[in-house]
Amino acid sequence: MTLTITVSQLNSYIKTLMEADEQLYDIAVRGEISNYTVHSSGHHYFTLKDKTSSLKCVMFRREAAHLQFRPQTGMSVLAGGRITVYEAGGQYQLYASWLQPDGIGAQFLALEELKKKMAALGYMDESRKKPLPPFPQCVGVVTSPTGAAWHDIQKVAKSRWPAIELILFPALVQGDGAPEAIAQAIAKANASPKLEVLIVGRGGGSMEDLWCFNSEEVAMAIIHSRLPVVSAVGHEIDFTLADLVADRRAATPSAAAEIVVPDSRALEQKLFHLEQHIKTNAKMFLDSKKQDLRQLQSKAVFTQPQLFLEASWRHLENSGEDMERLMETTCHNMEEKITALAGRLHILDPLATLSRGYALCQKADGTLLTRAQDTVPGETITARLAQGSLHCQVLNLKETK
Amino acid sequence: MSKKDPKPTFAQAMEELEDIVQKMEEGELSLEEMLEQYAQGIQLLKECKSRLSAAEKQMEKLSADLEDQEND
Repeated sequence: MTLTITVSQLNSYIKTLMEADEQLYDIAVRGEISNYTVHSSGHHYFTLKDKTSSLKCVMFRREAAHLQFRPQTGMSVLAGGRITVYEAGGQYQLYASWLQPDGIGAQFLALEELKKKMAALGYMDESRKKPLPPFPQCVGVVTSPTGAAWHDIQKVAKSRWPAIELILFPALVQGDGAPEAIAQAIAKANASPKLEVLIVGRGGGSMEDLWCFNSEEVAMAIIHSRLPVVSAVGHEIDFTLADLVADRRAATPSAAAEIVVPDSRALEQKLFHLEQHIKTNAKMFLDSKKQDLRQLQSKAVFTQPQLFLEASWRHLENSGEDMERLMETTCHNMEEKITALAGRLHILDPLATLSRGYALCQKADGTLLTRAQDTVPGETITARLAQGSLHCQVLNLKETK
Repeated sequence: MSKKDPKPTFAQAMEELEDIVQKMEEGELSLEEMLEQYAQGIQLLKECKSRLSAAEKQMEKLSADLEDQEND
């Protein structure tokens, strides 16, 4: 008779069954990582798969902290831990307590070590990176002669600066012998005196394809290059070692050409604008100076200079007037003085006295008579009047004491 | 005369011209000084105008040279 139980009962049964199996308690599984995600909780969730099957895995924060490398989708790894059953969902999964690169994964670990070593030697320092020449005339390219990279670089470079000279240093860019080939090509390029900058790279590909750009040989060749090196390894994920030690990194070979080769059309535009700018500024300056001069020229000192003599004229006139007035006053005063003197003189005029009825009496000898006793009765005297004179004889005297 | 150096710059000449105008407008000058300043002012005015005009001509010539080069 078939056993009939509930889902919960069944899942619980399976959980007990599986977790009782000692082998499942501590097991290592080999597979390729896919959907590797790190939760905000710090736990790592991923799926391990092979050609036909997949297994859900989780690595908790505590164990994940011990990871010596960064697991990525596509990596082959060994995951060790125990199998558990998630009862509610009827799923089993691997609680991974450790993770290790397998095959190419081992290479990843080695790469991380190499990166650390190079970083410690200062090979990735910003201060080491050489500046690129702004207007290179001769650019070297290390890449495959048959790949898309060389074609793309040529196209972009020539369209930006038609006169640019590009020299190819062909090399294998994947598989065995690639690291040596690339390193040699870089060395050869450095031996060429007219090159000013070097692009090293290739088009996109899988991690294995690009692996040669993670080699120590290529890295050292770039580090020892006297020419500035732009790495152009076409890929989306992590930077390769070559990217990290190069003087500049480009996401693609085309981007590298854009970085290295200046855009002549853009420069022409800029020059044109600068020309306009200069002309406008010069014109504005001249116009402003002209305006300043015009303003000065229109000032009264130049248009009506005689106005500035006005002051002097007025000064003169004022002086003239003052003088006139002084003269008048002085004359007037003189006149008054003269009139006063004339008046006084007039009073003293004897003739004036006579005209008031006084007579001038004189003795025969001409002596003026002022006292009565100076004459005797019977003497003849002359009395001069204002008009005419009288011949008189003294009758008698009357003295007044 | 009151020129600072043998060949003043355009800016110096303009400055001197402005000074003269100001002095004359203030009216504190004697008759002789007035005449002197006026003569000097006219001179500077002429000088500045001629220099400005020369600068304009030179600018036009330089622009024309550039155009010629572009048409080559």
